[in-house]
Amino acid sequence: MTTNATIWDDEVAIAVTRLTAAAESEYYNPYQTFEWPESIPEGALWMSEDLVTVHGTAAAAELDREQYLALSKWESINFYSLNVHGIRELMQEVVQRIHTPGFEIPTPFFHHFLGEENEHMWFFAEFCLRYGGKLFANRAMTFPKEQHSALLDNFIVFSRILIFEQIVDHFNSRMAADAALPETIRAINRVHHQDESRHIAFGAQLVRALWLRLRTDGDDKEIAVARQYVEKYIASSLQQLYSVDAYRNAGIPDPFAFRSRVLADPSRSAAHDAVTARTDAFYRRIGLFDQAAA
Amino acid sequence: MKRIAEWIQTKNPELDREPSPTEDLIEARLIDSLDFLEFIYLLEDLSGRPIDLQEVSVDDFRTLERIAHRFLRPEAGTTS
Ligand SMILES: [Fe+2]
Ligand SMILES: [Fe+2]
Repeated sequence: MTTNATIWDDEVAIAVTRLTAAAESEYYNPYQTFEWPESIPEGALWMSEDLVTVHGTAAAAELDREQYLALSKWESINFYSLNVHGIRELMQEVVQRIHTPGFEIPTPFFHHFLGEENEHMWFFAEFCLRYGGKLFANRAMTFPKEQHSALLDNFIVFSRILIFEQIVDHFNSRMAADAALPETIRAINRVHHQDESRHIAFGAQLVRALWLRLRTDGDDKEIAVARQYVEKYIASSLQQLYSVDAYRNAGIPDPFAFRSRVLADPSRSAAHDAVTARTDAFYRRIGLFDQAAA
Repeated sequence: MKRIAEWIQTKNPELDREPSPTEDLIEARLIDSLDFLEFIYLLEDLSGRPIDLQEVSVDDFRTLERIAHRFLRPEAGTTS
């Protein structure tokens, strides 16, 4: 069994050095960064229109303006709540690996990852609690782990982190740039996007190196599991955006049926492609996904 | 119960029969963590009650029998 130490090639080591230096020099105090006004202005849009799940669907016509704005609010609370729950889970994986044998090379950046994610969790939760009065409950459940090799396990864990961060970043960069949104909302998205560009560059290096090794050392079954897992994790990440809690809080009748209708609307497949474009391109580039299946 | 068995079959096309009431769905990986949100939504929709995940464990989802008992009895509250 090869050790992790040989998995991390020069490209990984160079990225770790560069990103660690960037994290140090761009470090800020998140607790003093935001204004936190009393409230989000009445009648404001909370989420970019093209990111709201009803965008382009026939179901959108069922909502009046008030319900639509309420939906933009509760979908944004859902989005930040998913961040809080997702970060908690992924931090645990990194905590288990930092300063353990095999992770000597990525460890310097793990410190920044953990420190920054802790702060992200704070400001996302702060936003939800101040302006939504709550976090949406975590709807994920920890199932007994499948028995994998350490290599496959690491590939899966760092893929989860990377995919989660890439999808979140699609929302962050869009909302940071959206002049239709209140400044408070643009600011948290902008600040998160700045930190995440480092995390994503880091994660992409780890996943690339792990995949290279898995492709040479893993058996066919492991490679199939890796591919299947990534596909399913992407699909499941998209599903989480369609929150029954958000539909219910927005005052939409029969939120379960509404969710099924919205999800099944033919217009959503283009929206999903936009959300996952960067992830799909990445996994095609490293060769996990079929190059032709663009 | 029928809707749940059907849902499991849709998620596992290679399964050419209905899962039995006592079959271990978790062990057999017929329900996995990545489908779990959809599964919870199905149960909440069928029962008309929210499920608080703080109050349940993986074992509550292990068999169809247990799921029906835990979540679908007319008198079953989420904290039963
Ligand atoms: Fe983050
Ligand atoms: Fe991150």
